[in-house]
Amino acid sequence: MISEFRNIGQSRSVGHFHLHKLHLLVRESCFIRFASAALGFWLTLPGSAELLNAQNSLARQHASKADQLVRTGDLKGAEAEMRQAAELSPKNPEYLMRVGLILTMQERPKVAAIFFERALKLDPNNLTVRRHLAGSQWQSGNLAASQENLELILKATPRDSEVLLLLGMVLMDAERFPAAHAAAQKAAKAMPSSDQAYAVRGMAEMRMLRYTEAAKSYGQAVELNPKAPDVNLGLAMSLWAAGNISESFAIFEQGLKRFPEDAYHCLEYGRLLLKSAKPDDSTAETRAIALLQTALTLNRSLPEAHYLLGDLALRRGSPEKALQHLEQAVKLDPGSSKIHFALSRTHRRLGRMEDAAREEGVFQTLKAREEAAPAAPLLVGGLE
Amino acid sequence: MARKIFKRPPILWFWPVTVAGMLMAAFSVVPGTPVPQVASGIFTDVTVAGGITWKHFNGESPDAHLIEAKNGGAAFFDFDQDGLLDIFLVNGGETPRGKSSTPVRNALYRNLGNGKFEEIAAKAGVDHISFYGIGVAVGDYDNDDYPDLLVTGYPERALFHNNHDGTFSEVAGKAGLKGSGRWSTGAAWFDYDRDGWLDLVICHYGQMSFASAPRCEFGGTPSYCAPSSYGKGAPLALYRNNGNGTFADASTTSGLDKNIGRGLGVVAVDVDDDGWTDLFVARDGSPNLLLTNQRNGAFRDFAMQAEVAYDPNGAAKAGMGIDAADVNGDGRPDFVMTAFNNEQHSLFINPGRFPFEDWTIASSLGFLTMSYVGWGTHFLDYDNDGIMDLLIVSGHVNKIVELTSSNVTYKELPLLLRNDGKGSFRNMQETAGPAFQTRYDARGLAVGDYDNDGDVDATLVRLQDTPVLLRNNVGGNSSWVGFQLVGTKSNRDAIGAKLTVRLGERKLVRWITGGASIFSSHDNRVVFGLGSSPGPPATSVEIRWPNGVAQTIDGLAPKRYHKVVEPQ
Repeated sequence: MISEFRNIGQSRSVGHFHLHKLHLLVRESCFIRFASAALGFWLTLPGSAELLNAQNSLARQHASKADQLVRTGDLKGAEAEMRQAAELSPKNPEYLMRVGLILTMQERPKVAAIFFERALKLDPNNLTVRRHLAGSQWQSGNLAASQENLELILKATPRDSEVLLLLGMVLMDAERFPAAHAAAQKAAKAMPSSDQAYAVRGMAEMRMLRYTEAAKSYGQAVELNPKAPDVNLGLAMSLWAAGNISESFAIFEQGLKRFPEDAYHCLEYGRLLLKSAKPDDSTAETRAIALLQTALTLNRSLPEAHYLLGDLALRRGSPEKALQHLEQAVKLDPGSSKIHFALSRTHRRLGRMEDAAREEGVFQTLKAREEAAPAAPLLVGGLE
Repeated sequence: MARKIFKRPPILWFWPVTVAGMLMAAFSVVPGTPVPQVASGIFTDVTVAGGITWKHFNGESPDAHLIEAKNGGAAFFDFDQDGLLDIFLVNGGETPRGKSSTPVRNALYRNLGNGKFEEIAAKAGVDHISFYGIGVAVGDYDNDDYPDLLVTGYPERALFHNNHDGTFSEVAGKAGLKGSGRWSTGAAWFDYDRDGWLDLVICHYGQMSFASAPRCEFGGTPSYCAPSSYGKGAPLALYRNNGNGTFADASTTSGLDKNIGRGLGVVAVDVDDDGWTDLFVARDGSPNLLLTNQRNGAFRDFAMQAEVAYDPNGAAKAGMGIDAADVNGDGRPDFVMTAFNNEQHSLFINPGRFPFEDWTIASSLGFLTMSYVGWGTHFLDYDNDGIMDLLIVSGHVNKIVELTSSNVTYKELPLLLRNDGKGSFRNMQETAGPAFQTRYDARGLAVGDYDNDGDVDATLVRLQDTPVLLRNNVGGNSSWVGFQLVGTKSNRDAIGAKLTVRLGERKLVRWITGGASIFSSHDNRVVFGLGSSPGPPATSVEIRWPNGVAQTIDGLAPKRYHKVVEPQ
């Protein structure tokens, strides 16, 4: 069987953890945009007057009330009203879809999917409902069903750019990177002003280890939307992976100015500074420490920042200090083999041999799990 | 261009000057032959001038079998005992869809002593092997003064016994070293039980079958799969020399067969200075092994305690080439290990206790090797200043890597890294010579003084291409003293011996190691750089022979090789 880059990070990826994090950031950004897109879509729907034309007058009233509440931002209230409307008119797919949309706005994709499915049963040819269903399925992790629905829509409307983009994200999550790349490529062609399309394409390129192309894609995404921190981060990381270290650091510096509240810029910049620093470059190390500390000030739940600070303390011969950071790190990410490995080394230096052996045992168990990976191309070493 | 003339020098016999422990020894003085140099950098590529035209073949195919990327051994050894180092080169082989238009043959280049080599593999009977060839380990396993050859590969191995008449006989089956069905890679001769006979450790890589190999692709192009695709690896094998031309499989009794992983490089050296030779095994995506000799036929892995099994992040690097030498002048063997791009090659400093210190970053090695896929590596004191420098040859495995990144190329530059004496390295690319500005897809690397001028030369194997022979132009400008040790009670090659030379306040320590680099074997003479010429008029050496006997010899003239026979 030919490997299609599934689980490529398990063996030799450019910092699987960090790419995964970037992927999650892009995904999170898409989720947020997805929720607001649902609202945007709602606002294009027929308003109160049209709803009044519906058959059941009581249902009409509830639907109308829901519409008003959505517009005022009271999503809970809107949901309750819309659910009543749907109960009173159970054969009305429009009402069911609207419940789904309100749930999407609330970022409750699993429940939303149930309503979209019910709506689709009543109106199987409705591509709009199918698209919303696919979106909810993607958000709730039902990737195969989401892909199936998106592909059905594309059969009818092959150039639907939004659907192509969504398919790209679904395939990214499924770790089918070449297919995701193809979808994102089509989406970018269809909507050349969508930073998201370029970001998804860049993300796929990163996962396919095509760093030079990824840097170009992210560069286009940043041009289109300089206000998106995840996109800027992607550009900086892809430049570094492509070997353009100084350009990468310049983008990080810009990012720090543009997004002073973004902990991930600090974390990744600090990490890569440490990774690239010449041994006599104490300035880089000092800067990295400051960045990691800032990252933790902005977001206390970053195990990687604690880990890096702990590892550095260990390297500098301060196991007590290392232990403090590593204990924080392991609380936040108990499944990380490298944190247990560092803890084991730290305990050994502190003469706590039992603790060292215990941590080494956990490390070995986690490591064995990581190693059960399918075939992957041999292109780049691990950068953790 | 001036041609070097390095005929076999006359051997002058002396009786020992000083013998520790009232032991007698014999040693001879072999004058070096300083010759005028044409400065074209530290090293000159003399492949063409030397008449070396053999081409490597790896059976590269659309199936991208990983074995195609992991082979290419080289050895410097004096097969005919004429005092001149010859070169043996291991060819790869054909694969089901990677066929050669000509027969795939190994090469044996006989050193003619005038800078030229003559290819005589067929005449010597070492040209053909019936399997895919990978590496070579040279050792005089029957103590008859003539070096023998072990060739590793898949699915068998060959043991070429030296017949003393310029020919070899293949005796792997008779010796019990055939290794049927296994994918053997790096190997090292060493005497683990100190009985005076060379034993053999062999690394194995993983599960291999041309019929059902894993397949990977990158953007539609076939590419080599990651090591994990070949399973968890295979056990190490240890063969105990029975002293009668046969070997007993001691893999289980020694505990070495418990070590499953993808072994590639191995070096045999006394890590803990207890007089018993230990092993460092570099493994590809599996934790490395530091196997200390328990002096009872068993080995124990201390890699976790030494913190050399994984990198500081708990990741098993793509450990490939390995070598040991005293990098920081403290008299203990330190280790270099080559790895994949973005992993950084490792430098482990041995402080005489566990854990070792990871100087990958502090030595600049990490920074200098970030974009390299390193294979063969060997410490050498190229300028004979008494400090061990480092030579590394590299080459990525997948041609398509250039599509992914601007700083990683398929063919890569060799690296000559100068040690400042404190374990910090500097890239000598600008002055090292044109070969160090030329990108190669290199694998094996062997070092040795083929022209007997007291500086260490090198040869590297390139996939699908001719090898490169590099002549050292600068070491002879400094003073030096060289040793060829001949064991009597110890194994004849004296593998496992420790030599110490005092140079002013400095104590220079070298070991005769087994294995080292990757898939390759080296000149087992030891050269000590003594600094700027003329240097001290005479020097002394302390030798600890592999069987533990200590010996001191004083009044040794510089710029000479001294042949020292172990006291009876």
